[in-house]
Amino acid sequence: MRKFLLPLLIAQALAVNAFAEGREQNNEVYSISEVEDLAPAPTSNATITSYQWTKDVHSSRKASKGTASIISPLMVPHTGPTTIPRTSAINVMSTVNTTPIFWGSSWTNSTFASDKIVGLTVWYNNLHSSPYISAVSEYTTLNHLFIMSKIDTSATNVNSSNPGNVLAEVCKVVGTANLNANGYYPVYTDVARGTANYCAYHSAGTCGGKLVQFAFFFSLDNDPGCDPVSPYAPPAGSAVAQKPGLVAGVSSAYQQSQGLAALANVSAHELMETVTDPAYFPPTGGGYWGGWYDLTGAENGDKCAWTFGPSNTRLSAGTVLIGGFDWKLQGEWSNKAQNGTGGYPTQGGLLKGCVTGS
Amino acid sequence: MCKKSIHNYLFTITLLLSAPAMSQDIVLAPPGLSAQTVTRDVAEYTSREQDLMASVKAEENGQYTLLADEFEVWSGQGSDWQSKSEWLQIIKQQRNFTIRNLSVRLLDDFAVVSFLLETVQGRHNKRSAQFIVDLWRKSTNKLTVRYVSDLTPSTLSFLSRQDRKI
Repeated sequence: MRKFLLPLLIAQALAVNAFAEGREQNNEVYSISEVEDLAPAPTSNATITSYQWTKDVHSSRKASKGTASIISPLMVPHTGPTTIPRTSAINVMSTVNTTPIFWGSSWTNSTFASDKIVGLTVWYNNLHSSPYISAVSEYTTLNHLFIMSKIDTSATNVNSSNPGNVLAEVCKVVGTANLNANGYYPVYTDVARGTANYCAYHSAGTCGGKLVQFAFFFSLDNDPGCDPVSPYAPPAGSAVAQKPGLVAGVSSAYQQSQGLAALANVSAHELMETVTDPAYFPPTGGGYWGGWYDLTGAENGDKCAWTFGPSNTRLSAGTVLIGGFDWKLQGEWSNKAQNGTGGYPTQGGLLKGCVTGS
Repeated sequence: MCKKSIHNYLFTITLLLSAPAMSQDIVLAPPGLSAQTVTRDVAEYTSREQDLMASVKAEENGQYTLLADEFEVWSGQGSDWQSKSEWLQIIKQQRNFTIRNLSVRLLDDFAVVSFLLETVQGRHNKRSAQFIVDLWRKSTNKLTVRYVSDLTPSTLSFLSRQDRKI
């Protein structure tokens, strides 16, 4: 059964916007707005009984890789089955309207929330004017807009990482009528990774017939498996305190929390993959990756995951200036760089197609 | 306003406010349409397993820098134990391979790496799939032992179906 009718959520319908907060920083006004406190859905009606998304299944594409010596490392465009009518040859996003969603009761805890909401707001709000955006310029001319953040303090659980539950969360918090055709909804949770082999993922679905591109993020606090080891954050597990909040123009150690720095890095990965390889749902049914990936299924973020650019004008390797702050972000794959314009090496060092924009 | 009218009014308001939620038909992407950012360990050992396979196929002078001297392979089929030289001969016959669902657990000086290995070998492109558990010694960056279990044809068929969806 592929369709699920959400239950009547009286509590949701009566949810009240708790507060809206605006701050001025770095000479730009940004807002953390429309903070919502939504009641949890009744568990008796909240089970989605369509596909069973097991770790084995939804990790299959990402882990499939062959030998670099046998196949081409370049990404190629995909159009899905040729029998399906398409409006464009390659499925990429040229306009992305991002609405981050912070899901979980811990987001009311100031120690947990720390600088994450403010920091990610700065990150998304200033991404469009940063050099990093040019890392996808050979695939699309991206117009990225930060819309607004939403906070849902209803409790998460061990099943909250399930794509079906994340999709339901997006549809619940945003509302079908408000879903943006160019929307991207990264969902940041307070769920620890545990033994999962991934830090985040991006996926898609439909809600009320509207396409929803979304991403899921574990809480990456003190998680060395998903830590970019930013020079601007305390090491994972360290008792050393960060400097209080984000300080514009201070490119010194510990201006970010470790959790924020880790989320920013994987946020770059998921957003850039969604832009260059969004899921495609034809009217005839089914779903496909319709954009750019290589012959092993790896997208631009995968091919450069956990690699960071060489030292540049910033203080440390792999750091990128966004919104007046330094962020340690992984590179993204560039066919042009691999073919000669120059990039830095991938994991293992055999290829050189990773870039962080210029 | 009488009590009954208030009740009806509140009920109507509740229904109106709930209408968007009631109309949300949620359809998930098909299996395979979820793309993960793997952990550092998974990325590192995926690369290392690829390097191992590629180096074994490419190596001609008998120097396998990623294999420990005591390396051996254990399986539940035929003779339980396979020497390094026997295993190398099998690997060299493989024409292509795919690594799937790799996971890593770090235990003291060892990394326990498990994955599905699909291979194509021989002139008839015979496909086979195995579940592999590798023990890498972290201090030397060498593979010390491999445990192998053959997968059933139905599992192989399942993997093929997944391929067609992406």
